Amino acid sequence: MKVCLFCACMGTLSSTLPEAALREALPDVRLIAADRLCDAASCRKVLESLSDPLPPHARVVVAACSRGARGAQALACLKETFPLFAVDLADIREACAWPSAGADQRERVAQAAALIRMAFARLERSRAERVEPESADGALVIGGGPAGMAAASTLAGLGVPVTLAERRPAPGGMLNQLGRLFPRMENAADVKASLPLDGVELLAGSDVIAVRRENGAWLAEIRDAKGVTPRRFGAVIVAVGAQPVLPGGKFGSGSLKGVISQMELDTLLSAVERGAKTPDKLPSRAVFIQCVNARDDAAPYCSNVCCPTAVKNALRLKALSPDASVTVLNRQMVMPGVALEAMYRNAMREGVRFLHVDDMNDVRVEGDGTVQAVRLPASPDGAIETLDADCVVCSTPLRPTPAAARLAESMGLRADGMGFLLGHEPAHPLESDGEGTFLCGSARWPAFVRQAEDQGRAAAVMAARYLRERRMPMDEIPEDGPAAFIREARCSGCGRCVDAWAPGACHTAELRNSPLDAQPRRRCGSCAAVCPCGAAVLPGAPSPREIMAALGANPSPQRRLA
Amino acid sequence: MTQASSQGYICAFACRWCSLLGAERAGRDRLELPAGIRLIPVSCAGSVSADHVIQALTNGAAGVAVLGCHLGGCRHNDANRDAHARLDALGALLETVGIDRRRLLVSWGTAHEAEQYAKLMRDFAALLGSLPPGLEPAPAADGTPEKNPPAGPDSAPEEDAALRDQAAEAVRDGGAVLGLRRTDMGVVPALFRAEEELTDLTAGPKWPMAKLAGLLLRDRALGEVQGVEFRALREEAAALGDVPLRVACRACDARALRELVALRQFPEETLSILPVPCSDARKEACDCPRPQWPGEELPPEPETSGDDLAAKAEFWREQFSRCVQCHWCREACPVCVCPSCSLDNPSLTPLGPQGSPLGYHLSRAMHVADACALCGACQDACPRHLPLLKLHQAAARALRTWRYASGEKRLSPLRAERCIAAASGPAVPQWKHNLGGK
Repeated sequence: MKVCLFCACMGTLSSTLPEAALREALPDVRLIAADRLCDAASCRKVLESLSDPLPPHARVVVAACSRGARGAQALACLKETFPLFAVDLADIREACAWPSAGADQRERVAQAAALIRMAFARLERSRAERVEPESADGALVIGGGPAGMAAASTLAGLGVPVTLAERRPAPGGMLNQLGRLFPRMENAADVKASLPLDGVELLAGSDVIAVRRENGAWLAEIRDAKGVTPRRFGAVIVAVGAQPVLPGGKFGSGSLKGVISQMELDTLLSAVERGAKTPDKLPSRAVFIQCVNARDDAAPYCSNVCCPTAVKNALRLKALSPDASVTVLNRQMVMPGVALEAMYRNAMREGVRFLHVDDMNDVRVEGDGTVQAVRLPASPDGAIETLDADCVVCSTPLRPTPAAARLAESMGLRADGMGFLLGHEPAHPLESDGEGTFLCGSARWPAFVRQAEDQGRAAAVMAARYLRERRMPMDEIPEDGPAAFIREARCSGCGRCVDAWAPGACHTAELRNSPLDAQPRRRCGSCAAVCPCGAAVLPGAPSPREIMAALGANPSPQRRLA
Repeated sequence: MTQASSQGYICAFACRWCSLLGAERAGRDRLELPAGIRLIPVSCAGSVSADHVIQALTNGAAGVAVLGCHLGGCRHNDANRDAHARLDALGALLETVGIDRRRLLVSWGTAHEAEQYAKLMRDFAALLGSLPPGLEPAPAADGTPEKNPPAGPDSAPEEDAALRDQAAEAVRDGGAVLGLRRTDMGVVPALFRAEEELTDLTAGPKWPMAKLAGLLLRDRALGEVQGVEFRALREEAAALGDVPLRVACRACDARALRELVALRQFPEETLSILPVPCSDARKEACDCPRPQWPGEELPPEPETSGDDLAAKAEFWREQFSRCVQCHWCREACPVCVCPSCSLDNPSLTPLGPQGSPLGYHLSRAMHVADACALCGACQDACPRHLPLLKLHQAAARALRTWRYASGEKRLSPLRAERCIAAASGPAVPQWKHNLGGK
């Protein structure tokens, strides 16, 4: 049964497209006119006020404004009542009533009728394109840091079967090592507790050696104490994080007592904050050196977490021991955002001294067994300043983990020159090249803990949606995310679709049906457009019936196989 | 404004990421547009196939507009460039059968370009109004098939002798040769294993060897015989096991077999060709458009003669009115390998008295455009002797713009234009499309 809900748009549409004329042009359609359908309430009101309610098998077309205006809302409301494949939208305002306002009314009505018939033809098509649901595999989150925990926790909350693989004996990652988090100085332990892993299959002490694409799913080789187990997953979230670079002998680190890394200072501050150590263990004259082993030839990038970390620890030190002096030698403080800027200014107010140094290699740390002073490079007037110091803290950047390189190779992910994993920048940064693979946290680029968590949540939502789409019959796929599929019975294995998909595959691919989902996703429909067999199908691509409807034909209902 | 009645319908396929939004904005801005426009949302211009355009144009649409995102702005890895290549080749084909290629508009725009969209569509409608009426659909023919013409000159004895010498070498090495055997009833395809059998081997008249060889080699790759065509011979070939098989065939068949490799029907290393050169008499009888072997340099394409669309339209109208829609052209084609054909959709090719064969022939020419070896098997198989090779030649000529020719190892521009050097392709129209130009 064809039903058309016609939105009069408070007279805007009914003045140019009279209801009676439309009714005449669509004799086989039950036309229900409403004053407006632009929100859920008015939509529901129209449906409830019908004396003869719509049967559940009805095909419903909303004839209203464009999706970008209010059409999407009307559709969303109808989808609460009807199956997704039974509802579509015909834009008769932006595509007909308004631009054709000057045209002859007969032609305008014919145009509107054609647009409505085209929408019905689309509904026919999506029914024809229904395929068997694929096997529902769960999601694998690799890495149990803040990003991975947030991703796993979110996925579990969404009801997706999720497995979290963490290399260390317990999840937490950086949250286990840090005491407090900038800029709000929350306790890392509290943040960790806010990411419950209820419902998550936790594989602690398990290393993911390789993940390969096989038969439409990801096959992960997971190694734990007992050996290597292969497991299949539908989606993979890579959250392997990054690791801090060590000072590596710079500024007397390792040979001079009192030269420590920012991470060691963090641990010391946490111990004092917990009361495990007394405040007299804290340095009284600390000099922080920024950009140690960063922005140099080996690591030519700013890791963007070290400056906020230094300011955070300077503030913590000042809070615990107000008489301590803290000097931060920096090339430039990188403190993006309002909150970090406020923290930076707060640190200056608290008496933290920020000194600009052009080249950290000119800084000399002096001492005999223990640190005694830090000699700064000569200022332009030749004066040499020497800072008294009992502690030198080296701020080092984050660098990619070896796991990232290993996974990138086995999964076919792209990495940048430094080894951080690349998504589809700039529009879809958390989606990777691989089918159903998502990136989050510092594996992409050094991220703050809070950023990593947010990215983890976002990646989880995308992965959940991806799995849902795969699991659903094709006609329930949201219209903005159709994925192509192959009807194997019609496929000749010619590989035109694969050529259109991934050009390098030409003349090399194997004989029979090349798996489309092993190729980077394009979802453009080129595969369907070049397929002469009608085997490759992109749900949502124009169908012959829709074109016939556009040309004024009234296609008869499609024959259905029993 | 009453443009729609005089100019018919315009099917506008608009990419939902850019152009559709621009079109919707034009409506929101109350820009006046012809009422004949039928806006069809697509997920990307790349999903618009030649079949869609042909279907619209042969079923009464005055024009088709394919509107995508700006080049470089495609959300789907430059799929709009692919669409452009496909539709450019289609334009050349439309021209050949007398449909003005300006009836197909390919243009790029984006969400804020409502004014540009409106101007484009108004100009397009005005242009369509100024064009003479398009090709009237030819009525479907009925009646008895005409008698087939003779197969052309047979091979000279010295040609057969030269071929036998080469075949003997292959057979002595323990291989088998697929060739033609001369019998009292004419020539039939056969497998030759022993030297003494070779006395019957002949170059013969023209024979569609590529179709058969393609099936044999595909059986080898699959390890089983699928289908019923040439069943006995294919089973005999399957019994050979892994014995190397050489195919005695002409240049056109060799091209078709090379294309079957590109279409992944069998691996390249199983293809071995025993070349059968064509005599001048043979070339003349075939009116051969491309006697060159794969790898040989192609002569420059001759200029297409005349722009008289009306005459072309009349010629093809007359030709297609004789088509009985038996689809033998498809069955005979060596590169038509699909187990099912998308043209079997009754919406696309309605059969019976109402159905026009034009859409079917255009679509088929586009399906095989980059794989067509110009062997002429389709036209030889046609019971009504339609000059189908002319259609395929037009499509092949269009692809030469990309320096693409079938049988050569090149990436087809119809499948992945974006990865072919932009410099070798034709100039790509930007959104200010020049409607007057060709």
